[in-house]
Amino acid sequence: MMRRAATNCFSTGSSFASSATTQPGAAVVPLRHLFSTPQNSKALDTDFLGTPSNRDELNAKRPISPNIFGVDGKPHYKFPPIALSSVTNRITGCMLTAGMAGYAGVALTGDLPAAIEGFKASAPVLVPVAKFAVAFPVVYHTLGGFRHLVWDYTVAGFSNETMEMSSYALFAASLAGSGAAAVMTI
Amino acid sequence: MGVGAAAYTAANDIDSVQVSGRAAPQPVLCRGDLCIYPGISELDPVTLDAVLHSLGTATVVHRPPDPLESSGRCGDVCYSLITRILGSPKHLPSDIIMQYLRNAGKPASMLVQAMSFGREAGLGARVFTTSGSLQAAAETVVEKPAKMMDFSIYRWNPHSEEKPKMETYSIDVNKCGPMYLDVLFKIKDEIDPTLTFRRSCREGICGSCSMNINGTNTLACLCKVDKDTPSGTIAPLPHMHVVKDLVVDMSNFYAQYKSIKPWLETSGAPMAPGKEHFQSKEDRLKIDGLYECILCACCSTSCPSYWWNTEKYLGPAVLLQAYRWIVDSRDENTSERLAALDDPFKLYRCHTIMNCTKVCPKGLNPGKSVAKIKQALL
Repeated sequence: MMRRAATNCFSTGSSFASSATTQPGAAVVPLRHLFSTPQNSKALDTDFLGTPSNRDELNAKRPISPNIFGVDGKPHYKFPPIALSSVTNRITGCMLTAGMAGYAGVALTGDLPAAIEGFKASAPVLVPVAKFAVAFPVVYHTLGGFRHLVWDYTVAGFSNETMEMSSYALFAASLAGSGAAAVMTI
Repeated sequence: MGVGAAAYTAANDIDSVQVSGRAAPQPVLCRGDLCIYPGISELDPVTLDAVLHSLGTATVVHRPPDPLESSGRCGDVCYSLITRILGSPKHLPSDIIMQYLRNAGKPASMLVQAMSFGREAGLGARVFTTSGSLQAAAETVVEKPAKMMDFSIYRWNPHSEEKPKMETYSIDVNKCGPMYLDVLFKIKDEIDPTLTFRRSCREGICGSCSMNINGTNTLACLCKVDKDTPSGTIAPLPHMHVVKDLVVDMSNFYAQYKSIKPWLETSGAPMAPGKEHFQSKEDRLKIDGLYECILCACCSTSCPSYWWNTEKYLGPAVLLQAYRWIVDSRDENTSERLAALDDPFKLYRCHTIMNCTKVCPKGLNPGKSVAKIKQALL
């Protein structure tokens, strides 16, 4: 039943497309009709390009080309600084979430300030390291978030050069900020 | 003049031609002391014919067709030479000619001869406006020593049980055209004819030879081989279904392109035939940097978001195309187009990772186009 419905949808899509291609100026069918079917994005709307009708079947047997890692298991795609700064934003976000959940867990089941005091007493050498590990995600993710706001509201800084510059600046500022937080006591 | 095998070995002009494992070939063309021999993949008899004609050579000796040579093609530079001679005769850069001769395995002295032919035929002024510098260039260029480079290429054959693997081919890059596409052709022509890849225009306008070269997506025809490195890596566009070797299934990408209705939409009656649909100069400028997109998919397949949501996220290329119609002052469906993109997956899987803009072989900025759409939806 599902399959049948989908097939009908595909054929409607392509007949519409062909009429629109012949008379592009006179298209009156609302755009929504084509756009409101994300579930059917597998629609083979490219049969006119020679896409075989059993494409999905063929693709199921095909390997996926190398992306992050190559066929030898070594890193494959060469990520530019901006991509690394983006993934760092994602990772620091995850760290913040996990960290907050951890603190919350301790706070709910025990005494969080006492646990922190206990850590400081038992391993004073590790205190700056621990502070850095907490400060870096906070600083990086906050500054990275502001960069996202600037991007989204002003569409500024989108050239390759500016992107690289802002990424290095973000890394540098975050390292400096978290370094300062690690050695300072308020 | 002798044009047989004896002349082949004796003619000092031609002695750098190497045709291993085969009898000394007959020359394709001869005039005076100048003979051009087959056996190099870049040589295409018809094209050479045209070159020598345009250089003023009258006598053309054709050899009988050789099935081994019938697949021969004219390399990039060969075509450039033709285009430049026939298309824009005022300027013929020396490096192009020298590169052509090197590709064809010809000594630099041949250029001087060709120039004198041109002058004799009264073509000197037309073709060789910088003949002084050309001659100087010709005299300083010496035959380059062999420079071997290893190219590691992704291979997968759908008719074999074998898993995908990287196969390494060693070739002399001094006897090859300058671009990665030339390397692929050399390997296909001379080492492994089963190597499969897409290509068409070899000048960065068709978008067929998009692939991942040394870890970055680009067009093989626009990607120069860095001869200072010992090796290179060629893989298909990332995270796509591999049809064979470097060929990937693009149907999802094309279907997504179709889904954004990449054509002008107007309400009301169609324009009368022959009537222009006017646009101010300022409005026309808005689609600069957008209409140049050749849909090579380098950007989309460089995007990690697109890797993980290939079917639901439209990807930078298709979003740039969508924006191209959104900003077109003549299009009257702007709000519908925007509304259709206002979707957590289609548009908002973009996290400004910006691999797209970094790799675009046409120097466009898909990332910025996506940001413009987001801004318009704020």
